[in-house]
Amino acid sequence: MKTSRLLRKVLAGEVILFAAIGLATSGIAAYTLASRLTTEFASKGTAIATSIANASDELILTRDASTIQSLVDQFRQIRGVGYVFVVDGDGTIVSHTFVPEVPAELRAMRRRAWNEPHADQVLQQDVRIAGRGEFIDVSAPVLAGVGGAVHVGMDRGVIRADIRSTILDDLLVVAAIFAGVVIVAAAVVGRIARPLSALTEHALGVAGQNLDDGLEPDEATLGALGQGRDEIGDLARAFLSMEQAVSRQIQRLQHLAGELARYNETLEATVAARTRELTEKNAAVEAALDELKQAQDQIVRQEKMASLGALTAGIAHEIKNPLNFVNNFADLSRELATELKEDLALDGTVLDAKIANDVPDILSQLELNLSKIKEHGVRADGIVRSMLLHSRGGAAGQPQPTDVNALARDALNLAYHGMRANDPAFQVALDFDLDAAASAPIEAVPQDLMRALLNITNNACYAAFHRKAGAGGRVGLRTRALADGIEIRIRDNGDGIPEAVRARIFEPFFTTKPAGQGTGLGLSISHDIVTGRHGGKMSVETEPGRFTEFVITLPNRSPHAR
Amino acid sequence: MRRLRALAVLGAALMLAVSAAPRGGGPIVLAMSAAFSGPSRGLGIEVYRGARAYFDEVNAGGGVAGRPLLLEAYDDGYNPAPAIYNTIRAIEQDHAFLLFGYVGTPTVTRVLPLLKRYSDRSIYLFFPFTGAQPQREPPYDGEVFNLRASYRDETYALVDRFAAIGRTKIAIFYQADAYGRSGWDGVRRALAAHKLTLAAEATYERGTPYTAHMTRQVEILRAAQPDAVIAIGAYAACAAFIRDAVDAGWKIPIANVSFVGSENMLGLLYPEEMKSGRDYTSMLVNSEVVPSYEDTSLPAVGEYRTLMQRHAPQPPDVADVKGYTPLGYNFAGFEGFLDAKVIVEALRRLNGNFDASRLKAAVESIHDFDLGIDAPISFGPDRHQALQYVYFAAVERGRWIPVVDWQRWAR
Repeated sequence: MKTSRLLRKVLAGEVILFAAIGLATSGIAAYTLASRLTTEFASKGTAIATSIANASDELILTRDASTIQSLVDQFRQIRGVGYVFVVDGDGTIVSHTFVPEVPAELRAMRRRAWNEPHADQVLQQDVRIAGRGEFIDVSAPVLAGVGGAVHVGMDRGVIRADIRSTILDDLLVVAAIFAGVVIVAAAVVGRIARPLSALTEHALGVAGQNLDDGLEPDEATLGALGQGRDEIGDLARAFLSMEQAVSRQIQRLQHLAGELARYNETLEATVAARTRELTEKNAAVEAALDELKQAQDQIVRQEKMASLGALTAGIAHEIKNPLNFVNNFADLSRELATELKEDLALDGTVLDAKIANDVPDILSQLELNLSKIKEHGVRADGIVRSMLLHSRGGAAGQPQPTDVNALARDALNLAYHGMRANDPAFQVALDFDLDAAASAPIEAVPQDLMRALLNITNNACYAAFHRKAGAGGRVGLRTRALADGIEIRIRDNGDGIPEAVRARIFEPFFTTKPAGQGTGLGLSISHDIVTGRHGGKMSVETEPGRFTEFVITLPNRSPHAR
Repeated sequence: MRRLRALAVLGAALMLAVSAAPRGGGPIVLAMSAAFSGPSRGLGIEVYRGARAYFDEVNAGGGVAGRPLLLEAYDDGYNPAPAIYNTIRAIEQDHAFLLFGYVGTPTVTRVLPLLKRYSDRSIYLFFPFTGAQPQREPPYDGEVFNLRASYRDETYALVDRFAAIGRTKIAIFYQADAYGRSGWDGVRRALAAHKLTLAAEATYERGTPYTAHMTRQVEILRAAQPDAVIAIGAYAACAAFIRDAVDAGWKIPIANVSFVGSENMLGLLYPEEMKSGRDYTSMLVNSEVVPSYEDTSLPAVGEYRTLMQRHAPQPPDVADVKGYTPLGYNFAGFEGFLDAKVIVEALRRLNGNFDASRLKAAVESIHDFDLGIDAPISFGPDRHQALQYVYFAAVERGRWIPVVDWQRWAR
């Protein structure tokens, strides 16, 4: 069993208390004894010296020295007497107790003359004798000094030894009492500490318990301890009621903890649902943002197109009137030529045979030319109209079954001839590879598609002619019927499109042509027509220095066909 | 028990005495308190043995007036307190008729007042083995009878002799008690008579054994560069002093007084001399108060030797005899023998009426009694001191012989 901490504390207190008592009593004893013993020894010495002096006046004067020595020797054994010596009237030491000789300090001791003050009084003085210690020298005069003197030396060493032994006794008594008190304290503290440590052990047991499982108030132990009528009993009872209270509190807490757990579960589910919703909304917002960005791009493009459209509309409007004149007068000229031919046939006008033979042919040729004028005038008119339509942002023409092969061939031819018309030096080779199956009409807006194709073919002719490799430029047109649409490929062997440029080629107003030779709108409009209006796809494949090939895929049915 | 056994031994002698002398009675008890143990036991034992030699002879002859003499020994160890107690016990309990042969000054001087206390019973002290003054001076001179010369006689004689050979610076080595003080007093007075003073003095404690060191005392005395040293001590301490003086290379005459017990001292020094080869004895000169037992020209010497041979007295039962070998003839024993001879003479003069109050007058009636030492003795009412002669002895080949020529120690 480990030592009770209470006992240790009590013992520590007792040690301090008894040390204090021991020191205090020893100190007081030492102080008191020192003064009392000094007084006591001095008076003892006085008594001895006086008694020898009184007895020896006659002895010193009349008797053999052994008589007084015999007297002196009787006092040697008295405790505290360090020495005795007798001086006669002449100052000779006639008896003493020293071995081997009288110390020099005492031989040198001054004698008092009979006529000095207090010569007949006992005199005390402190003497230190080398090798013997300190003494209180008590000298009693014999016959007021003329008969000599008796000296008794009281040993201070004996006084000190007495003090030492007294202090030792005192400390032993204190130690004995201390031992007794320790035993009693151990017993008493044990009686207090045993129930206390039972209580402590019980408390530690309670502290070590898992209180989640509840607390069973130990009414057996605490009830027994609580029988006591002292503070420990009170403590035990208090502990028991505390345990009961704690037990109740634990039950309440357990109930509350259950509820809290349920609330927690609900809360978690709600939070999870909200999180999910939020994630979804986030995704939606991101998608909307993407759309918004696309819309923004579209708006920017349309904004540009709108300004271009206004310009184009003006131009187209101005061109429309001359075109009308061209078309109307081409019609009128053809009617006149027809009329002339009929007249010639009816009247039989005599004409030189040769002329007569040639006129119908020339007329026919004229008719044919006019038809051609008309045809192309109409087409120009269509183009202008479609420009107007395009610039207005809406569909100029209605979707109709369209022969893509013919349209594409026309576009290339037109581009070619247009270039030649501008520049007589223009020369490129054209390659046609048209899939007959692609002639099957698909729903498309021919004017728009023509514009797109014209743009691309124009670019191709330009690139093929201006290639750095020099002459030998070629432009190829190839069509393919696909399962669900038609693929158109326009390829030139020009310088290709650098990587940095390729990403931007479908942007409006982006051009690599020298200033004044391109608007930068061609490919932009074309891309818009193919993808936006016909639901097709448009992409470019290129290898710098070797070729550029635009690939247009049109579905069988345009979304606008419906 | 021991004393009972001693009584039984005496009882045998008593039966003889009774048969020889029908006028009988109890034994006459002579009480002797002395050192029978301790460093001075040799003196007590030898005085006792010398006395017993004569008493045994007397008892063998029927005692005194038909009464056997019983020498009752008490050990005081040479200390005053036991001596007083022994004396009281002897008187009160053992009914001693007289006190006889006490040994030692410090013991005897303290017993003296008891004689006053028991003066109504007429208790006297006979022939104490000490030369101190108190028992020779008032107020005790009436209760004590002294046979031997005093220390004062001895010291006077020694100082005179030393002075005669030019040794005037005298130092004294003495026992720190009444005995030493008595010798000290005698030397001082003797020197004063020559108008001299003590050159130096040193003391030792009574009971100091031979094994103790006396070098300090040797140093103190030697520092004064004296011509001679007079030692007033017991044999063990004096032998130690002589040994240490010689060992220190100090060659100086050293004189001892009778009490030292010359043979006991020689018994310590001579074996030492034989062993070490150092000369411890040639510078010794002792004063004695009885003639040399070697001087067979004296009738008492012959008688002493004969009776010692005849009765071969043993130490008393109370003696501590462990490690002690009784001596042959010796000064102390011879003195005890002479003491016994005088007391028997005194008892005879009572004529069979052993009334203590008659004893003093009987002793004082002795006049010119021939003791056999060529020195007739006398007592009287004013004379309780019988002898004043001082003899000198020196060592030769391990024996004490009378000194005839002091010139050997001359400066």
